[in-house]
Amino acid sequence: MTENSEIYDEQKKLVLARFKTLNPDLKILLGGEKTLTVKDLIKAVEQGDDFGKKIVEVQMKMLQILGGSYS
Amino acid sequence: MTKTMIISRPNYDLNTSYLFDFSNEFIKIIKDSKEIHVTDLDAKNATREKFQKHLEKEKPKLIFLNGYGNRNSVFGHNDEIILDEKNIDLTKDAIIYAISCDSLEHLGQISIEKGTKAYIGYKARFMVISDPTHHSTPHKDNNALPFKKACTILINGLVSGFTVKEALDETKKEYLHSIKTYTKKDDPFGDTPMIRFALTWNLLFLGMYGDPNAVF
Repeated sequence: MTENSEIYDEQKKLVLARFKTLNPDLKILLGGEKTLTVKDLIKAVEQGDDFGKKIVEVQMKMLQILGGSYS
Repeated sequence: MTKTMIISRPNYDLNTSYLFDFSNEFIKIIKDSKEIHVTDLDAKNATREKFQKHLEKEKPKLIFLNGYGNRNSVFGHNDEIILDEKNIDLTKDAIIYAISCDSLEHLGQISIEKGTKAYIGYKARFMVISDPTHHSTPHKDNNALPFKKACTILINGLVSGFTVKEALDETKKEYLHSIKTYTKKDDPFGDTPMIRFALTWNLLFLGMYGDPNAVF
């Protein structure tokens, strides 16, 4: 396992742990498909598809923004 | 000299009702402007036929699209495709701002090849978190407010004479500000973390192709 994939796996675990504390039925309105729920986001992260990888990336960026280290 | 712009804003389901609401205040203000003529293709008027007719006749220099989309198209009323590769040449010399999913990715690039000055949009899904208790009154939905604010800053920037880059930068600043400061006094369903997530998502996937110095 490479260092990058280890980091990604850790990030994925963090994101899943966080998302699992949220209301699973909370709806996200989209400008493409009709709606998604938090449950759908969790599923995508668990499956590790492109959408799931983007979710992990965005959640990590959000933490950087909140922590003041985003530029 | 009067500048000409066009807006499409279908309103036929929950998601489009939110985007429709986002542009309501902008439309009210811009319709009073003597310097800008706006064609408002609202609700059922957001058809491909009407859209093309106005593009051909008025040659608007700013095209503001609200609605569903994908990599290749932007939709109008009832999921009708109003802009795609087949008619993108009608947007030559214009600035396009599309609040819809994914359209920047492919349609945005094609538009620049066909002569569009700049295409602003999202490279992935465009997300909004709503409060289900306000689904019939989106203008009262505080969950959606930071999303509405960011979208409004961009279009207001463009009509105020900002360059595309300046309008984008201001919008990104607004997204960052909202992510850092968004709080909700009454949050029984714990929506705040998802609101921050969706704002970050929109921030990261908002972008442009074409001339960053283009001005309406």
